[in-house]
Amino acid sequence: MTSAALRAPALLLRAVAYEFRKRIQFRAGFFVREVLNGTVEPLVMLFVYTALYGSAAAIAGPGAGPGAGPGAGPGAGSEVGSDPGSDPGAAAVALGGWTYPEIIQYVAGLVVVRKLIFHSRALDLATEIFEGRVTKYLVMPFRFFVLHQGRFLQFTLMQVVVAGLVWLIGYAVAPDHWLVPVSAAATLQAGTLVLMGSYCCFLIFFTLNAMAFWLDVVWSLLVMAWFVIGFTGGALVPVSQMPAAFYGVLSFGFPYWMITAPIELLMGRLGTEDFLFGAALVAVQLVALEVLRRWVWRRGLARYVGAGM
Amino acid sequence: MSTLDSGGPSGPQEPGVQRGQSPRGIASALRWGLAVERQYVRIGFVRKSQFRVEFINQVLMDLCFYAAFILTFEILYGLGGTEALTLGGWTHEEMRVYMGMVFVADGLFMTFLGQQWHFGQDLKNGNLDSIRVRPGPTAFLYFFQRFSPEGLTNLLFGCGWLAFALAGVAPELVEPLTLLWALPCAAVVIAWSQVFLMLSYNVVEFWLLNSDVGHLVSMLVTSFGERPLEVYPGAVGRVLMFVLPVAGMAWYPASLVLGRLDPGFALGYPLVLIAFAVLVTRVFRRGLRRYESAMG
Repeated sequence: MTSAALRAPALLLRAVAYEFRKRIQFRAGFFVREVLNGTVEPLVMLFVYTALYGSAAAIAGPGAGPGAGPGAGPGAGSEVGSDPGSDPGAAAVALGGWTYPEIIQYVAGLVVVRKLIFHSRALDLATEIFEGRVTKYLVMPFRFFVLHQGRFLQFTLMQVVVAGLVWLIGYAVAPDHWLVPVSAAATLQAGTLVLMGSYCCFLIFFTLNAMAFWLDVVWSLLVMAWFVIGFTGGALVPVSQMPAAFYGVLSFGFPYWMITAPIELLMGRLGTEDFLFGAALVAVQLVALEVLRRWVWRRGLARYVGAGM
Repeated sequence: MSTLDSGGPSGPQEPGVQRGQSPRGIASALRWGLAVERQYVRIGFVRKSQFRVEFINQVLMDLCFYAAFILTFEILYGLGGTEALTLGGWTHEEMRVYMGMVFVADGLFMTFLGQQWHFGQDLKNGNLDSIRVRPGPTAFLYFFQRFSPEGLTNLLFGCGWLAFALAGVAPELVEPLTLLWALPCAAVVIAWSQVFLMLSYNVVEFWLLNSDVGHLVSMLVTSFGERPLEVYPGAVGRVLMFVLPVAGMAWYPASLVLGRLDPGFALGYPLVLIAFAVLVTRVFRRGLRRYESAMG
């Protein structure tokens, strides 16, 4: 007879296999969702930074940074996008403590790191609550949460492979500009922080999904949460490039340790001491989020009657 | 008939329409379209009255997006310290106007075109049947069906930010008289661009069913259009200007209002938008012929 201790891991493995099958059903969709997704914003960010450093270099004087100065639009008589980053290697200008080559590496790191972060659309718990379909899971002899952990595990396993592929492609295309980790230890440390942060995201998104017990529809909360996590983590601007007041506050949140800090670890801007501090900080927040998740789930179940719309 | 016409079969009577016929003539089509849109607005308010907390959440969600966007550019321009950085020639004050145009474009999109997020899934499930049997353009009836009161609220916030940004621009750059004609023109161009850009990235779904390609292209288009085109390398900028004319979303309207365009270019560029609309509509019609009620 299978013990209860063995049943949960076996179920977890089955859930992972099932989630994999679901993901690769539509191959074009799979490619777009898992490989291309999350690359657009960093790309745009790169163009914006190139223009910004171009402007700073123009102010600092010739030869100080990304070559051409800002261009006016075609309506004003000059060409759109006059390739302000034509000479990025010469960048000596630092903005907020970051030089242009460092920012390029940051954006490259962002493309890879974002692949590993559990995203807000990956759970459909709120729909199941809204439609009253949770009941069928509640009568089964295992913890419902294991199924969702299976989804997280499947997501992580797949995205580690995807992130690895993306890193290899980036390195093959632009080896001089691409982010190459300073050491294997830094890679491990960065990976640990990203995955811990990703699990925090998973717990937050699960909890917000469970809010459907009260609110019925929660997708806007999920999107909102991602806006906040992305901005406070450094998906738009590195947190350490923000004004000191912002940095002082945001550097205590797990999003910073999930996005900006791991990239800085890979670049060698942060070291092992920072990693240990960050890991401890994120661990505390992870436990707090798990407690919150359990509390919200129990309170929600207490008012669940199995009827949906 | 409008350029969104896709030639759906005839059906029940609508204002300005003979029973069993699609509306004929521009005036008749406009009357019919407004009548349908009025119903969509009414249904939108009824639907949202069921989920009042969701209404607040969606307003907050978009405000979070706007706040993150504004903060990002405030931080970026602030990196220069006392030096006045520019982004592709756009000063801080001009960039605020640009952001205003982005928010208005986003507000219009969220208010009227929210249904597009479901297009891939609806194609797969054959949910276009009930739309196709109605008299009138399938694209209009489908994509405009989800009127969003929260989108309208955020559109008002966007207009408020645009007014604030315009007030902050030096008076010699923006004359009040210019605003009187430039702002309505800008609004028309934004609305036109949003509709046909949306249509363009959804047509892909006819060939790559439920692939999320539409969503990706949507994200691509939106993200690129949210920054001035001058920040992109020349070739990318030209594609965004003339091939997939994202410029109509915020770049052209903001440049028009701020007087950054040559008169010839300002007058000629709408022709690009019209040509793009005609092309996209033709491709959409062709794609619609592939629709088989249950495709996945």
